[in-house]
Amino acid sequence: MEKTILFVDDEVLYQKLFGDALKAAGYHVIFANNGQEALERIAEGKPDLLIVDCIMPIMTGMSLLKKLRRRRIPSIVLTTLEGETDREDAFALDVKEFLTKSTIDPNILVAKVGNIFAS
Amino acid sequence: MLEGRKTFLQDAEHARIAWHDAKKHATLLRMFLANLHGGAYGTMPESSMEAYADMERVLEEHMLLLDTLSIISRDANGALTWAASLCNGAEMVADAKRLSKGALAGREIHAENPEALSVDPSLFLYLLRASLVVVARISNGPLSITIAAGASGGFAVSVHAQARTDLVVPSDYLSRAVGLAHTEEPWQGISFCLAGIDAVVRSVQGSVSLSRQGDNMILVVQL
Repeated sequence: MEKTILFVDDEVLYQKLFGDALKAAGYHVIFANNGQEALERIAEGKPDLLIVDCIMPIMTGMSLLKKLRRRRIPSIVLTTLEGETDREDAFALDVKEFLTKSTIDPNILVAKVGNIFAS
Repeated sequence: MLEGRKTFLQDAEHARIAWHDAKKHATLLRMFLANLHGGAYGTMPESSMEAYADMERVLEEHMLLLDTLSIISRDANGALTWAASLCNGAEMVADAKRLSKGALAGREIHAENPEALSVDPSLFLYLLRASLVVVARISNGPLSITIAAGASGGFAVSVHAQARTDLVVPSDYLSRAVGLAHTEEPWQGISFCLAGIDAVVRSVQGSVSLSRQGDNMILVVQL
């Protein structure tokens, strides 16, 4: 069955760059521009995986992950932040991966997503 | 500056968001270039490839400069706990190779002890990338980089390059470059890398040295 990924990022170009790679790998990708929109998408249907940016208007990625903690949706944080505190905060919310955009490319994200679904 | 107002380096939250925004824009540019090269906007004419390679290399260096300032800023405001994480060395080398494609220009990287280092991932990757730019630019034979943390940890990378016979590396190169004394190419282009490595490593109480042994160029970073 086709897996659905909710990609949450306020930057449309990131949605396009990473979203295209995920779609090309066979995933169904839906998008949200911030944490609040992500909650609305999730209310319409639970995704199999969340990919979440940290710094977004209206609701940040960390606030979103805190609200979703009991829903147990596997999550990846994909951000430009790289501080140890940000990393620790994310892993404290049980994220599977903490990836920095400045060092990653879309193919690596697709590989990480594949690993999560395989496990 | 207004009296009582924190400077950029003193205000951790301000610095965190400012570096996030700066890196976000640099990252978007990097991805745009990668897509351009990958044909997402149509086929690039052959005549543009040299300009593309120049843009890629310059962008790599700009991102390194951004990382230099970002790491020093994080260290200055107490947000860098450099020994907190255990790095996956093999992934770091793969990332460094991908992000230094322009500087390496086809040279191969071989890593020794790739699982062995406990250091902040962004700091480790920065040191690898900056070191690669330095040794790749001034190479006239096999190159090696050693990054070590503490008494037990060590991480070595060898970069295999074609011999360059047009450069002779002066024995006082590192001290002169760090002082930004070199004004002629290729020295000028890598002075900021050496100065950056030196500033970053000293900020975490480490040391750095550049030397030659025969045809080998050796850069050693001790954290």
